[in-house]
Amino acid sequence: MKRRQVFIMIILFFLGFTACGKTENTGTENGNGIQCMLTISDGSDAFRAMLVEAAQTAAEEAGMELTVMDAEGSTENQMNQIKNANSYDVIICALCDSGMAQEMEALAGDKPMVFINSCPEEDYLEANKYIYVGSDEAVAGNLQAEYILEKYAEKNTLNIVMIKGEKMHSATKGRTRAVKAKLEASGKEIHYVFDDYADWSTDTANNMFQLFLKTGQDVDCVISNNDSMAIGIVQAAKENNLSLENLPILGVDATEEGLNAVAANEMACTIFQPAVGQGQAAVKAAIRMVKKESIASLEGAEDELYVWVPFEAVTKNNVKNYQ
Amino acid sequence: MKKKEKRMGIRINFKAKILGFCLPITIIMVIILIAIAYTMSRKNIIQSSEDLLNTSAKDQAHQIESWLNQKLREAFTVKFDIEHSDAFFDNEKLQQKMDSYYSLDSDFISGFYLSDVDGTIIKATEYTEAVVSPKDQVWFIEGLTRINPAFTGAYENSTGNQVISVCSMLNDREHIRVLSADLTLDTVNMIVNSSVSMKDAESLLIDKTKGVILAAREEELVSTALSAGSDQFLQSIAKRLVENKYGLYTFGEKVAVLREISGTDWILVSYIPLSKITSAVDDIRLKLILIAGICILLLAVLSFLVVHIAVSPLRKLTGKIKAMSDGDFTITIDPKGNDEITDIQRSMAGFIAVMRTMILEINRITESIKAQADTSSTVSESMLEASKAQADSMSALNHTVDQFSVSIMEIAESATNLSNVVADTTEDSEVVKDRIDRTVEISKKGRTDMQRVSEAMNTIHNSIDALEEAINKVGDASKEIIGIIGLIGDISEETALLSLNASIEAARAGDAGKGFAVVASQISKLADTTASSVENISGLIHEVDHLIADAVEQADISVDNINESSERIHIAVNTFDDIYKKILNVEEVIGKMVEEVQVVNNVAMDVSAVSQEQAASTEVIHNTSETMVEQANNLATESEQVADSAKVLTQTSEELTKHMDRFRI
Repeated sequence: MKRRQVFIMIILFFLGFTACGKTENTGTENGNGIQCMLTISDGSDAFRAMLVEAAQTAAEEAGMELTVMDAEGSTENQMNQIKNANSYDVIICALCDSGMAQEMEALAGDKPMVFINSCPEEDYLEANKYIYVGSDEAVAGNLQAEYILEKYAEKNTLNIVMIKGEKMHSATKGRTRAVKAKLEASGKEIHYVFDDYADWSTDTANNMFQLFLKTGQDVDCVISNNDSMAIGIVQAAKENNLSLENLPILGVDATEEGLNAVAANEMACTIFQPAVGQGQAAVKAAIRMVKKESIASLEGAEDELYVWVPFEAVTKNNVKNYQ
Repeated sequence: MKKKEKRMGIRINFKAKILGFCLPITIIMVIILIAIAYTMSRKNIIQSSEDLLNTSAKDQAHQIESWLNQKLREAFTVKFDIEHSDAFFDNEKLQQKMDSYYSLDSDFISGFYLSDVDGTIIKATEYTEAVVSPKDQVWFIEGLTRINPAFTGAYENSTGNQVISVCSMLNDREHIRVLSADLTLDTVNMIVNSSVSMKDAESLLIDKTKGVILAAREEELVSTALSAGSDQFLQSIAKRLVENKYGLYTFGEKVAVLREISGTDWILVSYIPLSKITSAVDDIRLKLILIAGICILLLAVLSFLVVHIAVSPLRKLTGKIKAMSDGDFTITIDPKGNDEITDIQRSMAGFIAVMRTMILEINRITESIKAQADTSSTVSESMLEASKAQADSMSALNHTVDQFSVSIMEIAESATNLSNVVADTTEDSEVVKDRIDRTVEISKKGRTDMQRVSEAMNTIHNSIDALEEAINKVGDASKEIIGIIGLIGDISEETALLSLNASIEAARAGDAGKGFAVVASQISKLADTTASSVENISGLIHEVDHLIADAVEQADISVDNINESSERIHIAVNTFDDIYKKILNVEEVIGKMVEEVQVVNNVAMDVSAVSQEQAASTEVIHNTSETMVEQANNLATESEQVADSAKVLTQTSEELTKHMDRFRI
């Protein structure tokens, strides 16, 4: 009899533990005592700045200590940051170069890593150890293409200016590939009258567009891989006194500038990339992995390798919701 | 030969058993092992081959990418140089630059050249080919779409070569110019083919957007459309490209890896013939089968040897055991060595010793058993007879008892009857007694009555006397009466006279005398009446006299009678006394008789009871004797059985003796 009582007590004891554990799965994460390092490829970028801010807020709420390091665009800086990250439990990393994922993982040693913003190749991801939190770039591309195809439903030929982000960036690749594929699939004749990398920079995009305008080619719309570059285009168009009404400019990110531009009819459409959502998800995932729990229960989790936070199209109609 | 064969037969049997059991199992295990090894190896080989293909494709892709990047960087550097030098505005200086850059990289067959929208071309002097109508050229048109150098697709240049160009605009808003440099597709082809790192692998470089093959080992394929032609392999690749599905695929006879070249719209297809992988697998399979075969063979040979050696000491032992099985216990076994077989030998030796003793014992016992069996037989036979006799006597007894029973029953019946009769008799005797008693009483009474009668007679006599007296008195009286009557007659006469007188007087008295006349008449009547009455009375008295005379007569007669009677009565009384006495005797006798009858009754009842008991007892005896008969019969049967068993036992012991005779000790 006594034996059985002891047995029951032990079971209850363990149940209690798991119950305690369970409470932390839902609702707010408890990241007390966890040290986390966020290394951002380049914090000057508007979107990435939002991302960092969101991560910091989320970390604060969860009681996790978050240290932000800006690699300022240099892979070497990032490598050093990670190499010296011994006192941290987990690393959130926005890679400067998405091809360097393996290297960074090796430098991180045993620490789990949450990749954000730039997605490494799937080969270098590991379930609940090296994961990617972000939005599916293809969705952004698709949404942009959808807008265009809707706007120019009757047109059979489209002249498009394609302004892309950093050449090796996963967002660049994903968005560009998706938007081009969707446009190709529409059956229309698509001419890319300009197709170059502006490295996410407003000024570069501005310069490029000005140059393009000098070539005197016709253009129906401008698709940009992000808002910052789209703003550059807007500026260039304004400087050249172009009517933005007939020239839809599309961006991605729904940064403050982007939203203002959409509201002001300068940009036709942007795709809201939930920087806040991504930042929060990254923090949540980081806490989970430190606690050796699965990320599978997070919303948008896939295969324990990804946490997708969905994109949303923002046009004049719904821009107010995002401002 | 036959004997040897027989012996050989035994040997093979045992060996065959061991081998027949172990070998197949071992062989099967070996086969299973080999099969598992094969499967795992195969999987590993295929996986490794695929991984190798993947890696080599990756490697190749990276090589191509780096080569491309190198070219792009060179182009970029040249552009950068131009943009940041005073050659930017000075065409002469620009020309110098073009000339100097001609030798930068021999891959750029054209060196670098520049053109603006008006068609002004500045190219390296050493490049002798003409650069014609730039505005229509692919490189120019595409160049206009970017300021970062990138590759065009493949096209035929003015000299008829298949080329790709690195081109872009110069960063010059005032003056739109496109800088370009050409690479032959052959160069690309060479790079692609030379960068193949896996043996027997081949590659294709395909322009995704146009579906055109940029590089292939077969020169004829270069610059052709992917989906053109009948090659299934190419068609499959085309399908995958359309679906944007990259990675490792098996298309028919080939295993291919499709990989994007990043930074371009090109796809690298690195493939090896499936047979490469399968041949490796087949090779291993063959080797494994060979190994299996050799192993099995070795196993078989070794097993045979080992079993042979193990079995040989058993052979000797087998011979001895065979002798033993024939009954020869005179053999000896000499344990040698120190293993299980030694144990067997030792055990066998012990066994033989034990067997010898046992056989002796058995023989002895068999003898005694036989003797006993015989005895049993005889005894049981006599038992059988005895029991038969018993059964018979029991039957006789039974019979007698039956009869006895019957008799007893009869006795009982008779006793019962007797009892009944006695009962009746008793009743009757009771009645008799009763009657006797009554008779006694009556006779007593009779006697008493007689006595009384006698007394009555006396009384009567006395009465008669009295009567006579009375009658005499009556006679006297009547005389008196006559006398009186005479008186009365006289009186009446007188009265009549008086009446007459009275009537006369009455008549005389006339009316006053009427009454008196009446009275007188009345008196006259009275007198008449009295006279008649007197007459009557006289008549009566006479009658009475007569009667009295009669009565006296009668009385006399009666007296005589009475005297007679009285005598008779006295006699009767005496007789009655006698009777009474006799009746009393009878009563006594009857009483005794009743008593005796009672006794008889009791006896009869006892007899009845006893005979009932006896009847019951005879029943019991009967049953018992029946049981005994049964038992006697059973005993008889059993004795028979015993006799039979004894016979069997005798037979068995004879058989046993026969068997035991086999053993020699």
